[in-house]
Amino acid sequence: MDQLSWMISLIPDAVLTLLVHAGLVAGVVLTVLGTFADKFPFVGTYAKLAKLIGIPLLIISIFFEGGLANEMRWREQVESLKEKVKQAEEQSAVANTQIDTSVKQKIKTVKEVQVVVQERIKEVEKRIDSECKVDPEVISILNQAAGGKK
Amino acid sequence: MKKLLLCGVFVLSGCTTTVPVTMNFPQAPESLRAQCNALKQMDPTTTKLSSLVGTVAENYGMYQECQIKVDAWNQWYETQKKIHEGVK
Repeated sequence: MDQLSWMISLIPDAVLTLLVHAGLVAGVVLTVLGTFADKFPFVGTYAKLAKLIGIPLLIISIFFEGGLANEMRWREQVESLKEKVKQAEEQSAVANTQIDTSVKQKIKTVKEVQVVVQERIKEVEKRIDSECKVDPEVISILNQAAGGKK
Repeated sequence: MKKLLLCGVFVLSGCTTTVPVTMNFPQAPESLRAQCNALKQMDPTTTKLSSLVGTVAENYGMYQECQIKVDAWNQWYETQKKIHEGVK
């Protein structure tokens, strides 16, 4: 049954609708003809054959009419979801660009501040080095803290 | 035998579940995917305060860059979550 519905899903909407409606109309026509044709001469001989084909065709067509309505409802939902996904992917791309631009701008500002800070240190380098000598233990402690290891 | 094999493949193709609508997992911006740098270590032989201040200031800068990235990751997650939840 799954294979049947999978194969049906491959048929375009218009073709599927046409096939099912045509089957239903043919089923109704053949059933009606089969019921009343025996009252007319010449064609009366085909009445039994028309009924034999018409009734099963009518039943199968009614079954497929129900299936068609269901199939179309699912296709509509799929189309609606596809549209939503497309919009979401576009929104996602826009959000990514905004975040990327914002991050790059902020990092650029941090780097610019770093250049200014390093220049300021160079300006006062001689003065602060003449006033203070750092104990090697201080460097060791800071390196340990920066390394994050015991 | 070949025909039987073909029939088998055809019949099994009915068992495949086709998911018609899928949303691609959003790719994070390039700037967020770069790793944070390790903090800079000082030359153990130096006794200059200017060198110490310079390294500490540089490390502050690296921390700020990393902070920006972490904040952006959180913002990215919240934004993408909202967009994803809108597709229902």
